[in-house]
Amino acid sequence: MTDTNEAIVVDGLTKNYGRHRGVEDVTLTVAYGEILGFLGPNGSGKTTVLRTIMGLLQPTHGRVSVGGVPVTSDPRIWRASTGYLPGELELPPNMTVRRYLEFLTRLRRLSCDDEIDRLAQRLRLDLTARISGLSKGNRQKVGVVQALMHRPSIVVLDEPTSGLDPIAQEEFAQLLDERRQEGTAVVLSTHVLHEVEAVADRVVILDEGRVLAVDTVDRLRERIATEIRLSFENSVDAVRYQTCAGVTSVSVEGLDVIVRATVPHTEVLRQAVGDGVVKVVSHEPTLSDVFIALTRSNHDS
Amino acid sequence: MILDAIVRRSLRDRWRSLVACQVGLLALVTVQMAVYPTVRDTSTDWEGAVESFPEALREILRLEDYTSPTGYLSTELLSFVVPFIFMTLGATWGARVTAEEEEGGTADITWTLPITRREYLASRWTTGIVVLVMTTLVFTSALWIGNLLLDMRISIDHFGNVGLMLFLTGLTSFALAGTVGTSTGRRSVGLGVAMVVLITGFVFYSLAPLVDFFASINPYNPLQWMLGARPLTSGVSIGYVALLMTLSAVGFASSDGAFRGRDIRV
Repeated sequence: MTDTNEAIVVDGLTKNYGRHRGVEDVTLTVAYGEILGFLGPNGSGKTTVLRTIMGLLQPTHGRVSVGGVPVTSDPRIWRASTGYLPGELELPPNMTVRRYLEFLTRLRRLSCDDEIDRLAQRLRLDLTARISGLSKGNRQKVGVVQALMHRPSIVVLDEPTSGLDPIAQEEFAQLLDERRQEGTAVVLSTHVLHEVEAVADRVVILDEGRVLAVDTVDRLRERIATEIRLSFENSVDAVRYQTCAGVTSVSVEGLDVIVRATVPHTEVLRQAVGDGVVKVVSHEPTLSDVFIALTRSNHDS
Repeated sequence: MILDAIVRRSLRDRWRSLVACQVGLLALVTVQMAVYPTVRDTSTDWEGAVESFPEALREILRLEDYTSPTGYLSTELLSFVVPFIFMTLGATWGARVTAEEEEGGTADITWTLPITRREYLASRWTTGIVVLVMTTLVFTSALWIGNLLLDMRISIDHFGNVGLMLFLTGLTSFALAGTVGTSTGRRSVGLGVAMVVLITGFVFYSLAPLVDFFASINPYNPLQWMLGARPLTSGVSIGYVALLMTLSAVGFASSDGAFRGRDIRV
């Protein structure tokens, strides 16, 4: 827990709301130069964790530190290097976009005019527009700009692409990638799984207030069994596939053997080649499959 | 540290209602001042009418010296109406100190900036103080100009006393609503609790001349501290000033403690 490359450390975080459980014993770290995807069904506690990281909620138990500084300490120290986009974004309606962003930069005791112009141009955001007249997508762009305009080294984003058009989403993904390469630590909470799959280095899956898994997307894929349909010209002894590594079930449909196995499927495929397989249809598990499998098994248990 | 960006934005967001309040106060002073020459010119009739009132009622309505300039202004403006305006103004601004951003949903961005909650709170309190000072200056200036125009010959230090007591009335109401609003994050709760307390205090204060029990607790009633002094005639009570300032300081300290130690609502 003392690695200097750790931008965010959440250690045994429990947050209760009165008798209601928010999250329980959540432990995770985010390194500089890493994008951590944050996944979970509605009400799983994602926003609770993010708001606790940003010091808006007080932990019931556990420790949270950002940039090596406990979030309970003076926020002027650690928040200067953070950017945050809340999940339920509200903006003051009677200001122009530029005036609002300038208001925030004054409170940050910085001048970010150049970066504001650059981000607005990339996201196609009109800085002269009144916030009350903006569409949901354009408001979201204001949220993204305010989170990134001071070039923070730690960024916490809750549903950042909600309402963004595909072009803005694409631009946003590029922005995140650039910031990661510059060494920024990013926590990205979203329901858009392919977005996480595309940009995240690691993924946290949260359900019912607990961490189900923290790992890279590839390793998470390895955790769930997927279906491989092996077609043969002659019938084969399907029972032999049961003993292959990672196989969870085997069934037969005519001349086809259907194997469910976790990745990698090396041993199954070697066996199939030996049996003279003529066609292999395999479905590579997506992050969505992983997410559904893990949360479903959590609910079942 | 006071954050001037917060103060300026808070004032800019509410400038219309602030101007409307000042215009309303000016209109009230103008109307009351315009009536005074008639009262002065018919003072004998008024004195006879006032003497026919029960003593307690004369006390409640401050009618003892109704036809004199100070007596007239005390009765018509300072016995209830203007202090009530300052109470409402203070409580309205106090209730929204932190609850405005919280209920408006903008708190999650503002309060994750590199500023402390105490800085934010102090800046919003400063805004409230600026509003109250401005309103006090507008009101006392209007009184002073009326005094000159109608040749009332009230000395300027009396207007200073009036201003001080009204400012403290507003500030104490601000502190009360601010403490509740900041502790709960709800504007309606802050305003509601403050107005219930102030109106109850006013009822107790008003009935003190008639009911012994209310008279016995009156020295502990903040409404007595706010309204019991006669700033236009007998000056201010240093004791009441100290009590109101202490109450306001306690309010700020309580708000600060409550705000720093609690979760921010979504």
